[in-house]
Amino acid sequence: MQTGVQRLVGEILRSAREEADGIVERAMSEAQGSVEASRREAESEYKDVLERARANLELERQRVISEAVLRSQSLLLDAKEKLINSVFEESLVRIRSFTSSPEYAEVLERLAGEALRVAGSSDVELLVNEPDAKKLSRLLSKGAGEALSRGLSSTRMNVIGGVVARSSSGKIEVDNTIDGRFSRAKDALRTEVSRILFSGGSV
Amino acid sequence: MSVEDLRAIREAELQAQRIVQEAIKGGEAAKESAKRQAVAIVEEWRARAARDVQELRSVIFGEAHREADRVLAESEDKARKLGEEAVSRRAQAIERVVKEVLGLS
Repeated sequence: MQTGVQRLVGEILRSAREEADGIVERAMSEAQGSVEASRREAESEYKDVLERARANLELERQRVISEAVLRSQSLLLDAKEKLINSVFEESLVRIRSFTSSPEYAEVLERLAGEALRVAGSSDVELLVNEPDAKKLSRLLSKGAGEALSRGLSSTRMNVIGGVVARSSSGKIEVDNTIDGRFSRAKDALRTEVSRILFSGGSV
Repeated sequence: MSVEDLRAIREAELQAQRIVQEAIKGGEAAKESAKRQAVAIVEEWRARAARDVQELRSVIFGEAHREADRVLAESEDKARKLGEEAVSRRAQAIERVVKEVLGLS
């Protein structure tokens, strides 16, 4: 049979244990909640980091591929450009060679005739290079076209061939030199040359 | 109430205080442990994020560079074929330019 004091002592200790249990339980619950909150926060941060990285990397991926596409387009354009330029370079080599051929005299006569016709005026002189001056003189001595009987300038040009018809006032000047025609042809025929070279291609 | 009774009660009160103090200490220790655990968890997730981002970067960049290399190789091949196919048409193009310049067209 417990005495009153024993009951009191028992009650004090029971109450203390109850309070202690509560304290531990609350602390454990708080600690567990804190760990869980940290876990959720860390997981959310992980997802954000990965999402941002994925978006940035996607942009980087597109940039790398776009650069490659641009480089490849530029590479193809350069290849085409080189081929087109090689056509003009080779053409010029052949034209230079042609100006030394006997057939060139006929071309020169026609170029001179065209230039005079376009210049229109009767007071026009023809400017040519030294070899062509000789050719034109020979043509004149053989009684070539009336047009060519007009003055052959004593001034010589440094050109591949052909003529410049110039009025004495200098107001009218028709450039029918090989050089001028080649320069104009380079602009005018670029598209056509490209079409000839690449039209039927599989690329 | 006897002196012994009072002493017993006093002893009980002191023990009760110790029990509560122990519980408080235990609770604090649990909270501290939780804090350390939380820090470890955050560090673990951050390390995982760094690792996964690196892996992702490696995969995506690998793909991108392979694709870029493929695109470039394809265009180099196209450029080579372009040159090969243009050879047969080059003479025609040169003739066209020569005739135009000499007024023979």
